[in-house]
Amino acid sequence: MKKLLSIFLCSFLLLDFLKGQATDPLTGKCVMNAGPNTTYLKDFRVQLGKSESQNEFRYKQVFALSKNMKYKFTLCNDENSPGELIMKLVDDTGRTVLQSFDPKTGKTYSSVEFVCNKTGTYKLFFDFRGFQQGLGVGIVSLVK
Amino acid sequence: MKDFSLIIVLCLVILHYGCNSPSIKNSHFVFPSEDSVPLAQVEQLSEEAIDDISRNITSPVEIADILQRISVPFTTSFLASSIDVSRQNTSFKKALMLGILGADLGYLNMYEKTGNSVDILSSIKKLADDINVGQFFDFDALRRLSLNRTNLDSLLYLSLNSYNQIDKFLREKGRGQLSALMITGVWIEGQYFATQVLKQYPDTLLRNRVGEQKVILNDLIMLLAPYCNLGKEYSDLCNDMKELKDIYREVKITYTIGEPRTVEKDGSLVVIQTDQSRVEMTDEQLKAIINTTEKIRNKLISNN
Repeated sequence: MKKLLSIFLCSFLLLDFLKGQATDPLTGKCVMNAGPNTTYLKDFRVQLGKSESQNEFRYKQVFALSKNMKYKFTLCNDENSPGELIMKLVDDTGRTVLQSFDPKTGKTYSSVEFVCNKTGTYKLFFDFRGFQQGLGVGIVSLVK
Repeated sequence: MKDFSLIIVLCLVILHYGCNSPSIKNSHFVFPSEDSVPLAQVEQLSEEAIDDISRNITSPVEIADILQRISVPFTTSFLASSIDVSRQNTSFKKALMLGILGADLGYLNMYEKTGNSVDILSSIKKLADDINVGQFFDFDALRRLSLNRTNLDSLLYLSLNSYNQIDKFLREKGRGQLSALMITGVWIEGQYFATQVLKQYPDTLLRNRVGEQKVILNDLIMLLAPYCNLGKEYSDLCNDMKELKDIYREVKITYTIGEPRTVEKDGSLVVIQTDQSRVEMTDEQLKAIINTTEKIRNKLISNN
């Protein structure tokens, strides 16, 4: 009977844990960081280990962006993340349209607004600065 | 007797959890057999090619944003209110309708007609539960936010985020055909909004937006392509989408290249793209797109 009781109690703990996964606090916080005049469109949760190669951004997603729309990319890091999340946006011809960091000065930005003038499929690349290990969230929003 | 009482108590606790926790009630997934598509049965696109297809389920929100910018008043006549969810008897129909109603929900929320969205939410709940993805919707929170209009941003976030999670989940679980159908439903309904409005408001911004859908439609057809041989429902939808693609064939989109301008504003970076896309679409082409979109969309929602 004790064994049966243990199984039931473990099941309840698991159910509570699963329930807690329904909303991700980091994503919710990052949506708030995007600001009041924005409408959430999509989030990307990025979790990567340290990279040896330090060449190419490792996390890629594809997203359609439309002409005459203003988008905002907001980047947030988990409080325990050693690395800082950075991103770049590449168009369908392979040209880098924007990046959240200045390679010359090393300055990084936690948000970038993008005034889109060409409808198309864009690639969003994410990694952590210095190709460090890290956990972060990137949010794409529409600026009203 | 003591053991028996303990079991009764535990059963009551289980019942309590089962009745009050919408986010977990489908945590034990049992997929209908028709949802599972053996890999050999589908014409496989490479994983990289599939990854390169945009799965944008947010287009209705963007279209609603344009409609508001050009001061188009809200109307319920665009909504797929004739859908009877209890008559959707296949996963194909359920996933498509989930997409169509998701677009309607986005449209209602953008126009702050959240009171109207409660009925749609009930339909979405039933469809989502039927294809075992109801756990991604916190319906109690959505209903509460809909009735209480104070937190519209949260409502939009919660509903769009649920659809994003469903898309991701279906793909990860090898049910990509349902994800493709849901995204197709979202797109066709957004396209329907835009084209119906164009009939009354011939706005250039919206007209160009409809023309630019040539790019997105090509992506969508690639997304559906692996599943076109899964049965009559699938092949009919693929043929309808190809018919629309054929009309779009003569629409020309030209591009001019420019260097992006970057400015720093209040500590944030603002990038202005100076590339330009330009749409060339005749009135006859637009009329054919409007009519074919209407035909496809009405066929989908009347087949129930």
